[in-house]
Amino acid sequence: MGVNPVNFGVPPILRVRDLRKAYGQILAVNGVSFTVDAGTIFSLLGPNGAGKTTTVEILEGLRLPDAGEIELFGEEVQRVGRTQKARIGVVLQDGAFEPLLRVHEVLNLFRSFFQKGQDPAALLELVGLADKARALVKTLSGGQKQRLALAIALLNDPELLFLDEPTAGLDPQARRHIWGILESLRAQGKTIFLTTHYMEEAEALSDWVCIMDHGKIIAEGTPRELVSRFGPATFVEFETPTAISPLSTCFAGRLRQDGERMSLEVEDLGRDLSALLSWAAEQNVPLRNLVIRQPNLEDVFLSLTGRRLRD
Amino acid sequence: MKAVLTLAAAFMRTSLRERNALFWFWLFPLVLLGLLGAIFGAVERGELHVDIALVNGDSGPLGHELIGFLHSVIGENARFVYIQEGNGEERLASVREDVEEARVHAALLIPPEFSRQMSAGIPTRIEILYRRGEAGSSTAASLLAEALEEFGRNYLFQSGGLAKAVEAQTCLVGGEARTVSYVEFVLPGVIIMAFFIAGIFNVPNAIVFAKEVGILKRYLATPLLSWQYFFAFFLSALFLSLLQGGAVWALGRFAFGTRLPLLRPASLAFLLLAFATSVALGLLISALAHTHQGAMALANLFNLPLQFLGGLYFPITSLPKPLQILMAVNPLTHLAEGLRAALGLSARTFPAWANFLVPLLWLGVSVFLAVRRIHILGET
Repeated sequence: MGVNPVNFGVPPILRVRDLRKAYGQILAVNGVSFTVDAGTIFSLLGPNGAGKTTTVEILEGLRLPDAGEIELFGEEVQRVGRTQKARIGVVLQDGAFEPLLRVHEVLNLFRSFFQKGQDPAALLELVGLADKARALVKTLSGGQKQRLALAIALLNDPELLFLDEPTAGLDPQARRHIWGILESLRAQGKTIFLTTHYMEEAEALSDWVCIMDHGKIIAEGTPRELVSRFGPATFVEFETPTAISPLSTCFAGRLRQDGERMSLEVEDLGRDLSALLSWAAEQNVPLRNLVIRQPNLEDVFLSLTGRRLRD
Repeated sequence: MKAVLTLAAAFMRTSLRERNALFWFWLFPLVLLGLLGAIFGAVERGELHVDIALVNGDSGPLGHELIGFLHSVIGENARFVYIQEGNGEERLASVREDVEEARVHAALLIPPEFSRQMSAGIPTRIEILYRRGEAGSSTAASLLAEALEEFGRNYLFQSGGLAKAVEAQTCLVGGEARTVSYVEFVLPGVIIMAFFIAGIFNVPNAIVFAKEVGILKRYLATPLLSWQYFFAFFLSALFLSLLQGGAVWALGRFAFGTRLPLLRPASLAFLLLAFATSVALGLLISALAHTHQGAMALANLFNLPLQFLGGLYFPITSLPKPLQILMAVNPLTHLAEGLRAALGLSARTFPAWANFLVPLLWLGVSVFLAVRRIHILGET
C-alpha cells in the first residue's frame, strides 16, 4: 500500500484494510487496502467488474463486507451505519429517483432524512437546476439527472462524498460542468471518493489514484507518479492503409493496431522515430496524422493488465 | 417520523400522478360499481339469506301453526337459528341481546295469548325485533311482516272473519323495513376488490420498480432504515385505500341510495383485514418476482382466480364441489362475506371465525414467506 502524501500528517478520513467480499464463488473484492485523506479527491479506477462498485457500496453502507477493517471519520466500524451515513453524500452508479416526483419534491424528501443540511434551493442553484425545480424527474435529461443526484448528495453538507461514475454517459460539456463543481467542493475542504473509468476525468481531478482489477488494488499513487512509474516512455501514433506485418516484425511487441490507427510504444524516441520514417520511405508507405504522445493513465492500466480500461 | 411522513406523502403523490394507476386503482372500482349498479340496480336481492330467532310464548296450537307457516313461506330465504318456547323475562332479554349484538338479523315474539285471542277474533299484535338502519336486519323484519300478514289473511279466510287478525309491531325501528338491493350486495365486494387490486398490483409495482431501477438503493444510502421505507409505503397505501373505500361508499350512498354502516367497528376491522391481507400478498409477489414484468404476471396469476371465485360481484353458493373448496380457501370469499355480515347484509355461509381466520392465515403465511425471501438490494 502506498502512502498518500497529499495531506501528510493529517488523520485520514477513511482507511480500509484487507477488505473482502464474495458473491458465491466469485471474489469481488479480494483484500483491498487504501487510505483517503481529508480534503482530497481520491479516485478508484478499474474496468467494469473490477470490484470498485462493490467496494464503494460497502463503504456507503449498502453491503456488508465478509472481512476487513473500515476506519471512517476516525472510528473503526464493523459496517457503515446511520451515524456514518448522516455524514456522507452519495451518487450511485445505478441510483435513481421517483420519476413522477418534481425536482424540488425529491430534494425536500431527501432533506427530511437528515437532521441537518443545506437549503435545497441553494443546491439547485449550485448545480444549475434552479429553473427545473418544478419539473418532473422523468422529464430531465441524463446530465440534469446526474446534477440532481449531485445536489441530493450534498443535501446533508457531507464531509465525504462518494461519487460512483458521476459523469457516465454524459456529453463533454455536461462532464466538464460536473468537474467544475467537484473542484469547487474540494476547494471548500470536502473529501471526494470518485470511481470512474474515464481516464481523463481521473487525471484532471484526482490527488490520489488507486487502480483496481480482479478485486485487487494493482497500483496507487498520484496520476503523475503512476504514469512515470508504470507508463511506457512515449507513443508515436499514425494512420496507414498499408499492411503492417513487416513493421510488426521490426517493432515486435511494441506496435498496436486499432483499425487504421497504429500506436508505437518507443523507448528511445530519436532512434525509433528515425527507424520508422526510414522504413516508411523505403517501402513507400504513407504515414498520415503522425503524432507523438506522452503516456496517460489509460496506458498505465494497459501496461499493468494488458487490457484497456473500457474493455 | 418526519422522514416517514414525508416519504408517505411522496408515495401518495406518485400514486396519484401515475395514469395507469389512476384508472385501474381509482376510477375502475367506481366505474365498475356504476356499471353494475346501472345494470342490476333495480334488482332486489330477495334471495339473500337472513338469520331469524323465534320465541313462542303461546301455549295453544296457533303459535306452532304460525311457526310452521313461516318455515314454509320464508324458509328459503331465512334460517331459523333457534326456536324457543316460553315467554320469561330472561328469555326475552336474551333474544333482544341477540338482535342487538347482531347474532341474528331479527326475532319474532309470539305473545302468550296468541291462540286464545285469534280464536276469539281479537286482533293480535306480534313483536318483531330488528336493528336500526341495517339492511339485512330490515330485510328480515320485512320478510317476517309480510309472512305475518299472509298468515292473518289465511286465518281470516279459513275462519270467515272480517277484522284484521294479526298485526306486526316492529321494535327498534330506525326507518321503513326494506329489502337489500343488488348495489348494497355488490358494494362491499367492490371495496374488497379495490383493496385487493391495490395490494397485489400497487405494492409490487412500486417496490419491485424501486428495487429494479435503484430508487430503493438510493434511499437506503441515507440514514433512512428499510423498515421506515416499508412503513411509509404501507401508511400511504392504507390512507389511499381508505380514501378509495370511502369514494366507493359515497358513490353507493349518493348515486344508488345505499345505507351501509361502514364505520361500525366490525366493518372497519374487516376493511383493515382486507387491506393487510392484500398488502401482504403484494409483498409476497414483490419477494418472489425478480423483475417488474414478472411481478405483474405473478399478480395476474393471483388476481384472476381469487377475484372470480371470491363472490365479490355475485353470490356463488351453487358451485361444483371442487370449486367450492377453492372458494372456501379463497381469502376474498371470507373478506367479502365477513364485510357483508358486518354491514348486516346477509347471513354467513361460513362461520364468523372462518371469515377472520382464513384471511389471517393468508396474511401470516404471505408475510412469513416475503420476509424470508425478499432481498431489498438484491444481495444474497
